[in-house]
Formats: sequence, C-alpha cells, structure tokens
Amino acid sequence: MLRQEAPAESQDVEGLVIRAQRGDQQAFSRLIASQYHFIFRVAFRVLGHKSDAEDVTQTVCLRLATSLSSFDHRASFTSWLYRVTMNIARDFLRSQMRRRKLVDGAAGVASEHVDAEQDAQRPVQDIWNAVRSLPEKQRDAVILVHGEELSQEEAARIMSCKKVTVAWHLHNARKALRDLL
Amino acid sequence: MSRPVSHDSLSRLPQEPIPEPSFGRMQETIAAAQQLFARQPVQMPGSQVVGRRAFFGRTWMEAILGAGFFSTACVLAFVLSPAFMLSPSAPAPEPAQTGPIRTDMVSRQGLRPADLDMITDLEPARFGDLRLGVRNVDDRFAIYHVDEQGLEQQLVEGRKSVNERVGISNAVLIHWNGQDVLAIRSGVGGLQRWEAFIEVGPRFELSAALSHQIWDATDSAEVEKRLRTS
Repeated sequence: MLRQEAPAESQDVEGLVIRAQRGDQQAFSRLIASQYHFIFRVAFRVLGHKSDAEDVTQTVCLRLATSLSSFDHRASFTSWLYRVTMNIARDFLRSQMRRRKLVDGAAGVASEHVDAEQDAQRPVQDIWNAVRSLPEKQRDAVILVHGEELSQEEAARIMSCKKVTVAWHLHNARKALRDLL
Repeated sequence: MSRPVSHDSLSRLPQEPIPEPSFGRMQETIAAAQQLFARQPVQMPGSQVVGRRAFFGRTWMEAILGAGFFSTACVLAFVLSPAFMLSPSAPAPEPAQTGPIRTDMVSRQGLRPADLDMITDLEPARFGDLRLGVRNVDDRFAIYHVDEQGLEQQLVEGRKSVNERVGISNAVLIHWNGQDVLAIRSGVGGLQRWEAFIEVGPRFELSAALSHQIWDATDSAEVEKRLRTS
C-alpha cells in the first residue's frame, strides 16, 4: 500500500497550507478535513487504541490552528505533520502511562514459545503491540519505515536524525522483535 | 535450509488494520479547530509575536509610560483629524456613489465581508513593466496584478494584524517551461517571502510547488536561477 501522497495531492496540501498561513479560513478547514485521517492513522500506529488516537488527533488539529505559522516550509508539510503527530502521541503515551501496559502485554507475548507457523497466524495486533513496546526511537523507526512504508531518508527527516541512525534503530528493533516474536 | 527473510521480523510485519475514526468525533474536532483558527491573529511563518506587551514594554513602569504615550497620540490624532477640523457649518461629505454594487454589498452584510476593491484604493507597486498593487483594510489584505488594460486581478487575499501593512518588496516575470511565472515578494516589514503564480489562460494562479522552491530566495536573480534549475 502506498502511503505517501501523490505529487498532485501533495501540491494541493502545500497550497492549502500557504493560504491558511495567510489567514484563509476556508483553506484551513479544507486542510484539516483532508489531513484528519492521516493524523488519526499515524496516531493509531503509535498508540494502538482508537479512542486514544482520536484524542491525539484532536490535539494535533487544535495545535495546527494555533501553530501552523511555525511551519516554515523547510520540509514538506507531510513530514512536519508526521513529526507533530508522533511527538504529541509520544507525550500522550507518557502521560497516560500506557507504555507500561504495552510492555507488560508484550512480555506476555514474548514468554510464549511459538514456531514459524504459529507466528504467521499470530494476530497482527499483537505483533504491532510488540512494536509499540519498543524504545521510542526504535518504535518510531519501525512505524515510519515498515508501517507507513517511508524510505529511511524520509524517516530520518521526520525523526530529525541521520539515515544511518534510523538504520541503527531498525537493526536494534529487529533484534528485539526477533526475541519477542 | 535457512530462509534469510524469515529471520527479519520487520520484513515480515503485516500491515496493521487501521480502524475508521468516528465521523461525529471527526466533525467535532474539525469544528473546534476551525473556531480556534478563526480567533488566531495571523502570523507569518517565522515571525515573532508582537503584541501589546511588546509595544508597551516589559515592566509596569514602561507599561504606564507606554499607555500614557499611546493615549496622548490617540487624542492628538483625533484633534488633528480632518473630520474634527471641519467647521460645524461645513457641508457633510457626500455619500459615495450608490448603485447596484452598493445594494449588493448591503444585501450581503453579515454574510461575507465586502471585496477590498470596493472599500479602498489600490496601493500601486511597479517593478519594470510589471504593475502590481496591494490593498490593506483593517485585518485583511489582498495582492493584485494589473494588466495592460488596467484591469486588476486579485492574486491572493489573507488576514493580518490590524496595525500591520502588507507590502510588495520585489517582483519579476519569468518565462519558465513555456509559461509565464509571476514571482512576488511580499510581507510585513522584514518578514518577506516569495510566491509564484503561473499564468493559466488570462489569469495568474498560485503555484504551491514553485512557491515552495523560491519562498526564501534573496533576490529576483536567485528566483530565476532556482526556477531554471528545477
């Protein structure tokens, strides 16, 4: 599944951003409506709960209303929105202490010995919960590269690090998940 | 026989099904964001917040002095205003010419603000053969292109702070990829940015992609260079 926007869509979004930054309320409304599902999807990948993802999506949308002017077009709007959403989702996780629950859940998964066939049948949700139990940087790298299917370069831009760092996080995540799964 | 791929947990990750967000919640969120956005003062990217606090200073003493200065300035402006200096016997200014357009404005009152070209004159800006202009009214502004016949085309419209004035500091017309591209540098004070408008038929339309390429160019030569290399 192609996660990145088509060029025409991307240009539309950038155009809406420019107009919204100039105070065009209609452009802002269209921007929010067009990005709502994207924000929700990214938030859900980090959190794994629909209602939590909706809470974060709401926070991101309200943050856009007050902070869109801080977007300086140095990166694409989509990259910027990834960063904003993942940061707010991370803060949400920290405040809700859900991370501990996820780690506990993942530990339960890890304690079960399963072979390759059983692995293939394991509910997808459990696998992604294991991903969410990883340290933040590893989790973000896996979500961006293997969930959102972005390139490592794009993931590095979003995570404000070098591509080699993303590769290192993925390497560590791979090792951790090999133990867990 | 070993299967290298099977050892890579990540390459075998199946896509997680993403639930649909609830429609009602989505509508509530979008409405709340719209309301909040409507209450925000317009701030150009990268600008600093300039408000009453910045105007009056950072201490109470500065605030009092600032408020006193501001009050004095208001009184002087009122006393010296042309309306105040008119003698009581002077005839009242004639109302503006009324007609179908004015009637139309009245009928739309409360629904949408009047077009800026019906409220105030164009502040012309000329760059070589290029004729452009700006209108600043209260918290709104618009930038225009004026063609050879003197017909105005509104290029962009936006919001600003009431005490700010949007101006055009540079502009250039570039032939690019078989089309004319009008690049305009505008903004408030030192906060300026380039925007690109592609000629489509008889009109110029904002190009987000080209604007993204040139927004921080230092001058028109660099705009042209960036477009040529794109």
